[in-house]
Amino acid sequence: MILLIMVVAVYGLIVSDNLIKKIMCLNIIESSIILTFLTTGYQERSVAPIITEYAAKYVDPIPQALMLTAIVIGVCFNSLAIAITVKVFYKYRTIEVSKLYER
Amino acid sequence: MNVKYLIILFPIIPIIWVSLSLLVKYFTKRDISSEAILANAVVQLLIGGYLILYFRGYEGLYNIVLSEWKYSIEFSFDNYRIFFLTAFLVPSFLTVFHYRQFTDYNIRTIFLFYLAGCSGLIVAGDIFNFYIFYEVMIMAAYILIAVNRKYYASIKYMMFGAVSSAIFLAGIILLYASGSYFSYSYLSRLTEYNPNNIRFVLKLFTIAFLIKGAFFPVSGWVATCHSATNGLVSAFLSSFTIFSGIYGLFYFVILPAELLGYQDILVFIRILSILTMLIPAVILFFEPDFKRCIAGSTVFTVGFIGLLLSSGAYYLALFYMVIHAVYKSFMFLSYDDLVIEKFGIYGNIKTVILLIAAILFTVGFFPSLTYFIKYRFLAEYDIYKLLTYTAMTLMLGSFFKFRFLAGKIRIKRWFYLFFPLFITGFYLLNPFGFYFAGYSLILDLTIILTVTLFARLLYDKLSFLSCLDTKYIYINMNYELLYVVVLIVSQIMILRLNN
Repeated sequence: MILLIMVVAVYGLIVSDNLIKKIMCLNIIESSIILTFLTTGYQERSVAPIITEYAAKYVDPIPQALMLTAIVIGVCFNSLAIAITVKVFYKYRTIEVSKLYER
Repeated sequence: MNVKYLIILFPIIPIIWVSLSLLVKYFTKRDISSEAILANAVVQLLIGGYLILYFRGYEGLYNIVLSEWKYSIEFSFDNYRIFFLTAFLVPSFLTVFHYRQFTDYNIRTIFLFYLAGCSGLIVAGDIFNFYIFYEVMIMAAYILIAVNRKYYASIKYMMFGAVSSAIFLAGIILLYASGSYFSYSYLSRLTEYNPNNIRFVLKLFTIAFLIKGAFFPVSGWVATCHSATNGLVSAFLSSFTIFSGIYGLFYFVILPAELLGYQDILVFIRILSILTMLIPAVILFFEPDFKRCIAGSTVFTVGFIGLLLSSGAYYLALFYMVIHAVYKSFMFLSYDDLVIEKFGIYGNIKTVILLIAAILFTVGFFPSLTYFIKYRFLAEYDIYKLLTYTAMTLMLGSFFKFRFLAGKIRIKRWFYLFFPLFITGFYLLNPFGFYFAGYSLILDLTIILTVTLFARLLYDKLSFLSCLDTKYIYINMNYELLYVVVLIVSQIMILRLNN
């Protein structure tokens, strides 16, 4: 399923002409990668990695900790990409990649 | 002071200056960001210089683990990293003379963040830390590329940066799933893990760093992005940032592949390196913009360094990279002193002479220091001689189709003094000797003379091929993004064939 999402996003990234769509596709690719990492730490019938006397099995906390950092980086990238896309629009009056290069 | 603290402190220094600058601005409304950049450059030069002296000839990896936990943050340093540190310190030194190029307070602050990312990358001791520092550096670079309001260049850089980082992250995940450490010391234990997984991890890292290092076919963004910004940022981008891709390729792909005997990965890098030298040289021959030629020539150097590294000539490659940092920084910084009218490059006699010297260094013809490195390598690997010389000739032609004219233009800049000094220093320090044969010297001089006389004539005659220049060939970034998929598919196919 994750692979399918990623393939669709890669296809979108290559064929879409609109910068906002491209950024969205990059987001989906990144999210699918983060999801892959989180599934590596998943175990059946286990709980969040908070030590209590009742829980016998915990999911692996390392993927979660690392992916939090990756999510923060992703958010920074999104905000920056959208900000620059807005600047692109104000300067060129378009966000279509094929028209941008003509200017 | 203990060297351990200096290594940890190195990436923190720019952060300290940023914090100080922001606090002073907030409380007193005074802008000290310019002084902060200057102070940062001086302090980092001192610490960097000490680290170079300390680790010169050091055997093994100096590792600093912040806690006993298996996945703890780590910093490290070794003999190879001296070269990457030097490639960073060269433009840092030039910052001392050019820090006033940034006219905006916010951009100066972002520049300090960029320096923090670069510094962290050099001393990072684990792969995840490397990923984070790389992101810090590249996020700041996206903004710095847009300082001249060339937003398209910035967004293009952003797309390729994000795609390569996503592939790198996927590699980190698979490495974790294989049970490996993230530390650089994992290299020595790679044989303990599932070889199929490790092979696939190395394939993913290869693609990620080939994009970051601007190898063919994903090298079209270099000419657009490196030429879009001011001289100082261009100098940093082409001296260090692009080579951080080479740095990752060296540590996370070439060294492990060599250790595990994965020759297919090394052969793949070698083939791409040759194409990276040849194809951009052809494209640049038809490029009418001089600044784009300077920016694009970095790709040619990346190709040659990739060839040296994948052939096992590590020290030659790293030394070449350091020299490249010097002459490329000079070329970008002196660009502002030139008057360019179509194919005429006018400047002060000092600027023009040094610029021609820098071009010879870029291409690697006699008597440049890069010539001796190339000669030493080609003497051992004869099969690359024809391809290398073809690429070199085309590259020289791409510069010499312009006419360089010296005039009485007054300029007074300190860095014109330092470029010859640096280069003389490298000639004196050259650990590889000055071997050359008479026939090679004659061949070089003949090529230089022929290219000087006929490059422009050939360019005019082949004007019907002008559609090959960077403006047309990289017309749409969608095609270049497609090349990334082609690279991934090719790697998977090679993997299937090997299994």
